Amino acid sequence: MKAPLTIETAGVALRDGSLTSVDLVARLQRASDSIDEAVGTYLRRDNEAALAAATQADAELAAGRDRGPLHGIPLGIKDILSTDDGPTTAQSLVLDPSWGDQGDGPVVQRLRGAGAVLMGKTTTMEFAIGRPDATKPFPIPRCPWDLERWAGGSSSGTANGVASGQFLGGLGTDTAGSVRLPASYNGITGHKPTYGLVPKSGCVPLGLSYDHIGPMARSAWDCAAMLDVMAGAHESDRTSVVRPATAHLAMIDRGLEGVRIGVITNDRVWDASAPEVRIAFDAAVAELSDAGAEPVEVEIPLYDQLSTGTFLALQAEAFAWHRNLLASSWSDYGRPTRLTIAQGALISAGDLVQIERVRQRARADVITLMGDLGLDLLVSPTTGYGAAPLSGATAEQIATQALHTPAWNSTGFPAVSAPMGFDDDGLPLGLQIVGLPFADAMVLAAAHAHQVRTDWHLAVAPTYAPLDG
Amino acid sequence: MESDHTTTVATLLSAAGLDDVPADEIERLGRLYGGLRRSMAEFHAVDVGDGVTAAVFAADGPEALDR
Repeated sequence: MKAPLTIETAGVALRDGSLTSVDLVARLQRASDSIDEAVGTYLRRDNEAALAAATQADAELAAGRDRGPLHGIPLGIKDILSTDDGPTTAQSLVLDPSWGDQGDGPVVQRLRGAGAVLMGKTTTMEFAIGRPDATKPFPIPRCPWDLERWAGGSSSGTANGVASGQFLGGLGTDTAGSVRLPASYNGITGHKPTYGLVPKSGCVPLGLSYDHIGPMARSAWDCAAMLDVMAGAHESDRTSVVRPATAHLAMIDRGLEGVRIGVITNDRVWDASAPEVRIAFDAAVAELSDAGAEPVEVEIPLYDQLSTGTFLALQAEAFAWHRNLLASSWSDYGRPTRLTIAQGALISAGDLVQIERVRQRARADVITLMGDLGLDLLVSPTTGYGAAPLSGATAEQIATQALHTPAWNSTGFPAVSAPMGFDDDGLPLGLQIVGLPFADAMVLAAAHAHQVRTDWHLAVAPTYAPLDG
Repeated sequence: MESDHTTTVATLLSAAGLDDVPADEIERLGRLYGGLRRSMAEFHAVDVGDGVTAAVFAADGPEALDR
């Protein structure tokens, strides 16, 4: 089978005349006709609007107007982000259908303005925190590497849509790992930007100070192209930060010469990782080293608290947003969702203050440690295991699904997950690369350096629709 | 001990305005409450000093809040 199309390679084809956006979108829509029901990618497909946008993109390119790397590129949008094309559900029966009436949020607006073609809204977990729930009238997102396994969450449909060949990239959101975990499970690349780099208005909040909107695609190159468009403060999000623009794509080939990488040794990571994860991870670190990086073992201070604090505080923050809806519509929520959010009511004000104080101290300590050791990046596996079975998952598999990612939501540091191999069941595994605040370009360049030397990100899942129609 | 947590959880949920939570779900939350308190005890055991407040989190200084 040919290598799967990426945003990068599709851009070349759109410009050399071997492909049109209309042709690409139509083929992908036919792919979805054949596999979406099995994979569970979409909550809503906007076929006509996508073809209209593709037609416009082609006309503009023909007229010499080129909006950049996303021009004519089909993307999926997680259905907790509002768009002009229809209501947002957050995969819940509870959310007021008028919630998304404001239309495109700033990030969606920017993608559209860059010529991207929005294919539709993708599956998640209820309010980005529930679990796959067969009692609700929504698709169950499955892993295209094994349809009896979960796609991971909560940016499930964006991840499995890219991996199964239904669009070339898309938006996810990440409060404790929800971009990076499904990226890892589905064998694609997903980037959680620095907190404040990308405005998150237009997103149904989960944990307001832990939420991030991030790009998901085959490669780090593709994610950098998306991030260039998505980044930048917006008046609608007071936590978005005004700072000079960084051209992430322009720096993607910066290489790793002289870059020092901290290899995380904390027990919390390695006690919760399968042996084959260690093997794949060591090979990935060796590749980074061969590319010029200098690995150094490092123990992250207060790492357990950074991780646990994300879950505790996001429950409290989620409860603040959901309290009135829970009081009026308890039984309309899925059971896992309501029980998770209700735990926020069990955390006292003093508890939350202490979590935030520890968060700030730990964040400062990590920055100091990286400075003292001259570290530019940190690395760990993204997950300790491959995708969990949809039924019959062990308690260990469930408990360890999100142990490696949430610390970086507490610190707000940028973190990418890039494919690094497979486990003994043939399921993808991810390498997590973390950087200092606003060093997103270096994080993505490191993932790119790994992808230049490997082809894990181009591996094709058993359930994949090739562009042959 | 479990029943103590169940009573505590029911009281906290009611105080927070959640009065219609079914008994089996209060019981479930009661079983989780012990773990939550143990996690919180670990946070309260961390000495962060007297200078660290719980100010609104921002990744890069206060300028975003000044707008």
